[in-house]
Amino acid sequence: MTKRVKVLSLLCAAALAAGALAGCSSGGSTAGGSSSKGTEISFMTWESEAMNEKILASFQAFEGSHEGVTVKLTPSPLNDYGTKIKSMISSRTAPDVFMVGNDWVIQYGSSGNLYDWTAKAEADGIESLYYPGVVDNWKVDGKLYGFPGLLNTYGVFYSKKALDDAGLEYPKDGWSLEQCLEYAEKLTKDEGGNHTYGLYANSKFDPFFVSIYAASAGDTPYASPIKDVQGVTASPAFKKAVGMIGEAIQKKYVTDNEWNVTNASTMFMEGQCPMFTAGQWFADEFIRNAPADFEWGFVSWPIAEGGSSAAIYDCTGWASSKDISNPDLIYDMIKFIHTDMYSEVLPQTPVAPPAAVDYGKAYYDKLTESGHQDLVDGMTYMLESPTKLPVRFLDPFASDAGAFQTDAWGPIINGAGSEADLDKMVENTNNAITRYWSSH
Amino acid sequence: MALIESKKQRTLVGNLIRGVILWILSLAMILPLLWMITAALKSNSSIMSIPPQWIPREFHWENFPEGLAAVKFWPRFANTIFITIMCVIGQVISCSLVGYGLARIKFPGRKIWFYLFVSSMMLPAMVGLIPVYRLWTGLGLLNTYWPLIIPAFLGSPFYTFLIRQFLMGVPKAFDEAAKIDGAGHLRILFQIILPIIKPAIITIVIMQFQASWNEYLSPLIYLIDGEKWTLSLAVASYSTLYAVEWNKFMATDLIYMLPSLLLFFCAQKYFMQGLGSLTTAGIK
Repeated sequence: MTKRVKVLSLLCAAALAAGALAGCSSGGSTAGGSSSKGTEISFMTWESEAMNEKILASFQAFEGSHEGVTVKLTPSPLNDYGTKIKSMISSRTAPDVFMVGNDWVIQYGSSGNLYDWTAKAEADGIESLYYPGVVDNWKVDGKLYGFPGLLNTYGVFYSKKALDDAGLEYPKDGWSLEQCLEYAEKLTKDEGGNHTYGLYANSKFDPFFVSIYAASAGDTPYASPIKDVQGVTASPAFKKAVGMIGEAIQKKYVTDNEWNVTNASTMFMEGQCPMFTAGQWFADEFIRNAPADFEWGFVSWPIAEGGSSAAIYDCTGWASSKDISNPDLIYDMIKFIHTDMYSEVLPQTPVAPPAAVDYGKAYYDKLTESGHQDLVDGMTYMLESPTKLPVRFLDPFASDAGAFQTDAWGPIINGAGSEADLDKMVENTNNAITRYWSSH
Repeated sequence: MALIESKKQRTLVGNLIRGVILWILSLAMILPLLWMITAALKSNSSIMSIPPQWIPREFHWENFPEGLAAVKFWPRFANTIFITIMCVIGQVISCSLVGYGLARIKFPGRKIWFYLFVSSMMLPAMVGLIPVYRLWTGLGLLNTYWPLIIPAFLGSPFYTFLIRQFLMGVPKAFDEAAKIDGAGHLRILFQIILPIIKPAIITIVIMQFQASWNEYLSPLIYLIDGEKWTLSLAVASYSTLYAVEWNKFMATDLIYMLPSLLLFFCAQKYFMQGLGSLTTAGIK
């Protein structure tokens, strides 16, 4: 072996050994712990890197008021946040505080994997911070396993130019599904071999969203209440909505259930989507990154003609695994998140209104300053709706019951299925729900 | 004469048809890569333009450095290279040893062991995911590279099968000559056999390199600190709740793909030889 090869081999071996020492040693426990240097609290979110940096910066104030405490972010790719957090919970290496959906809190709380905050919350009276009734959905058998953080609403973003060109008035909150589909028809275009749908259903017309029509028409919603759902119903109003939407999909006014939604928001900003259903968090992207000359508006999710207000309830929040070692400190951090952190971060990245009533002003002010009072009005209209419906099954039977929906719903809403198919789907879903409750 | 002319014409037509089919299939294979390249050079808005532009009106070369910076590419490149090299070394060493043992050393139950190895390939990886995850957790090796590296040193059934099949085509005369000169099994393996089965070794190197380079699920569940992330996780983090910056995503992906592509282009001759051993004798 020549001298040069020997030297090169030695350098490579040294580099590999250095890599082994760096990467093969544990980074330390992700659960908060104490050391001679202080206490470290870890947290994890599914937010973008830009927002995570702002969140981390806001925690400096928390560190300043808690001597010896450092806050550390555990990053995760958005698409597989669920896989990552579930594996961490099961291996008891979850961060001290992590973002969760309402359904995860129900599922993991009922299986005993999350910390029970009931005593602390009652002693502190923290429930009074939130909109009425929100916290109840975060409890399992009366025990509080997480805290609501941000509320989500779903509506329709529209391009003002597209509506102006079609001679349509900007829709108002409380508009009907009938009007929405009429708009979709008028906004549909076929030019030069390219088809533009009038409405791009980024938030798809799944049973829970179609249920809004039924509830607003005074009929039985598909699933109710928010949790502890005992069964589902395809009421006459629900079936009427399914029929209307299916017809619109068949006529290609609205995108079908299989349409790939990945690029819908980019297409919307480029003026290629006249209307686009989505959660209000897309406004953050549109406000910060849309072209300067792009004018858009927001309106509430359409309800039944002449009906009363009904809206989806969707809330994300924060939870901790049952093995945390500093519950007092972590509770302080959770309170900080709901008050100071959101007040500071949301104006910079206006993704959603906080569930804590008094701490949303900065968020709403930012939207108004950005020229989107319509977004504020639309969200307020939906948040104040007396009829709240679940965005998905929150109960532990969600995956079993949901499987029947996943298989059957597509052809039904696309207008290719029959009423008998819908009834069969409801029957199978109810059987799964009944099986769960009979064994629990 | 007419017969020869007719045969020549048929051959010409046949070659023409084969050529056309190959061109069409090649184009279909290369088009996604070409689209990636053009998308990487465009602004995000022009990617969505209809009709699609194949040649960008403006070249946005800044997409490359900005995309790489957004995912902290180079530190994660170092992590990925380290894990990949370790896995390649592990597979080559372990599979050579086991394959040699199964092909060359007569011991009781040799065939049974071989069939066990091959039949374990039928087990889907997902079946073992949870118990293996619990094993690494119990050993306290979460948030380290060990769960990603150690399995490579325990031998892959497919690569072991590949080596074994290749060795079946190598005459035993080489071994016997070495034994006469006093060589033991290890010496025969490393000094005589490995140079002969180079195509199979290079095949393992290529395949394991690509497998480790693109591995996603294991780094996702075993690596917690962002500093330890591999490139697959970093590139996946481009997805957000909102719009995706496709231009920078494509730019980053192109750089991400380069090492695998370069390795394959350099070693494809050996790769084809190595895979050929699965059906025919190893030495060509």
